[in-house]
Formats: sequence, structure tokens, C-alpha cells
Amino acid sequence: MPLMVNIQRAVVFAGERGEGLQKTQKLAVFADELLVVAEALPTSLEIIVPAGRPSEVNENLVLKAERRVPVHSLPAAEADLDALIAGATFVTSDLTDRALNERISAAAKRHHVLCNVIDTLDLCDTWFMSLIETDHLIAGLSTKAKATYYVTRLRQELEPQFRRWEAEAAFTSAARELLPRERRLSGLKALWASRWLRWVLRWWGPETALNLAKKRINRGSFKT
Amino acid sequence: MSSKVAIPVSLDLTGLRILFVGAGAGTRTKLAALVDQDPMVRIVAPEISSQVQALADKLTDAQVHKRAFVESDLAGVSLVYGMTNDPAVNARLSELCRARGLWSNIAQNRGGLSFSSPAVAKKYGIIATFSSETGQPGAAVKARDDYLKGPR
Repeated sequence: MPLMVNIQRAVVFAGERGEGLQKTQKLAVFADELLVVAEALPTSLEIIVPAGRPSEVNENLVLKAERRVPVHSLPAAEADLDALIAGATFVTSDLTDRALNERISAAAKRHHVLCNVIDTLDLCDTWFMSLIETDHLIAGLSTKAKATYYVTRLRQELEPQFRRWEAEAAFTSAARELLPRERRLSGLKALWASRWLRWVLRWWGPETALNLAKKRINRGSFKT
Repeated sequence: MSSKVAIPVSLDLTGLRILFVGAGAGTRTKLAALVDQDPMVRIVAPEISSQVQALADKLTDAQVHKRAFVESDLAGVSLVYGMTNDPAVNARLSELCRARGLWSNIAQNRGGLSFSSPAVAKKYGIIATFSSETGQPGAAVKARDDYLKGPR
């Protein structure tokens, strides 16, 4: 079941494989509150995720401002997993210790927190989708971790097509503001019915199409 | 920091119970989209429409309660859809979900929304979702339809 979620509080159990760090970089863009539990004894009490493109995996992600993510040590966290996980929206782990991952997953279930344990399908109930994000649209692609390489390839192939969808979304967003509230839906339908307008949008972009739409609306030359 | 951007995730419904408060058109639409996955559901509403009851009857584990929502209805659930026309019920439900850290989608209460349903396409074993961050579900649906048609 695909969902768009607002992550209020996420907990990352980061092992030595480095995937936990990648998840931290990704979640830094999305989570209101983020906490890392590090398997290796941390040299500092926080991870600094710089502004910009924090993920090497997905160049779409942009972090608008630097984030400082607090780090807890694993032995301390292990002693009271319930206290750490209760109230979180999402928990993820890339630890290799199966028994500990089972305890994390069980604690997540007890507190109805959604859980992803990397490379351990039977302990997961949630998967991140490969992401394409633009100003107006977000797309996610997933095979439930069964073919992640193929999904990454598909994402790269879809990105050019996304530019066209993005132009259409930008046009729609601006055009709806030109129309009176009670005629927005019928007005947008009428604009989209114009083959000439769609052609202008495709080849000249949303600004030119919007100017054309303005003229048509002002002239009253399309029916809503 | 306030999260302005939602992230697409894929959720395995096995072992998770979904609560629907209200049993009108909104619940019918959501249930109809989920019925193939046979989720565990709990539906609570003073009136249950025949279409919602028919969909619930198709599920292996559906608890249908014809009464007003009470707080204990949240026990053991992982996802909550608030689909009533009563703003007071929706606001209370939203508060309770927030306090319990439950993922919720409450009608008429976008401030309390913690998840939403994107436009979905399934092709070649890949689930693709499309959603709009600027309140344009139509644009997301159009992108989804174009994706299903294939590249131009």
C-alpha cells in the first residue's frame, strides 16, 4: 500500500555498513525530528548533514538548511528500546545483529511504529520508495526492495519525462489562480481541452502558455 | 524544523489494522482501493452504508461497529482514516492520533494529516506513486496516466 507520509520523528540504528548513514542523509530532508543510534562508538554527539544534496544515491534530494542530528550510543539505547521507539513515526536499522534487529522490530510493532530493517524483508513493514521530486510533483518507485537497481535505472529514465509533467503542473497551479473559484474546475478542463495551448506548453513552457491562457480568459474565448 | 515534504513509502499491511471512523463515500473509496489486499480493518460509524458493509463482508478480518467513535477504538490500530462530516469528531480524532503517534488521514483537518494517498500505477511489478506538494491532485493523476501510457 503506497502512502505519502509526514515523518515527525524518525530513529535510525546505524551499523558499520554505512547504509544507516545514507538513510540519515535522506531522512534529514523529510523528518521533523531525527535521532541516530550508532553501533560504533561515536566520536561526536551529533552528525552534521550539510545543506545541499545530502544523498549520493539520489541527486534529487535537496536539504535546504544544515541539520545537526543527535547521536546515541547503541549499548545505552539497547537497554531501553521501548523508551527510544515509543512515539516515533518511523524506525530503520542497518545493524547486522539479527537478534537485536528482531528486538527493534518487535518494539516497533508494540508501539505501532512503522519499521524498515535493511536487507531483512521479514522484519520490515515499510519501504522507502525511490524518489523523484520537483517543485510541484513527487513520484515514488518501489519493488519492495526486490529490484532496487532496476528502480534506480527507471528513475533516471523517467526524470526527463518529469520535466514535462512539472511544466504542466506549474501551468495548472498558475492558471487556476486566474479563474474564479466557482469556475476553476470547468475552467481548467476547458483550458486543457485546447490542443493549441497544450502544444504551446510543450514547446514554449508554462510562462508562454499562461500568457496565452490569460488572453483567452480575458477575451472570454473559451467556455467553462 | 517543520516537515513540509511528505515522503513516499510502501507499506505491507500484513498484521496491521486500519481504523475507519465514518462509513460514507470517503470510506467506501478507500476500502474499495484496499479490498484486494485483504487488510484487517475496524469500521466505526453510527450509520454504515450498504456499499461499505458489502466491501467489509469481502474481508477476512473486518470489525464493523454501528455506533459513535470512542477512544478505545484506537487500541491495536496502526493507521487511522477519519472520514466523518463532523468537524468536532475529526478534530478529536486528530488530537488522539497525534498524542499516540498514530499515522492518520483525517478529513477536513489537513493540519493533523500525517499521511495521504497518492495516485498509484502498477506496471512491470513496479509500484509508482504520483502526488502533488502544491495541492494539485489533478496534476498527479495526469502524470500517473501519462506514465501508464508509456514515454512519448
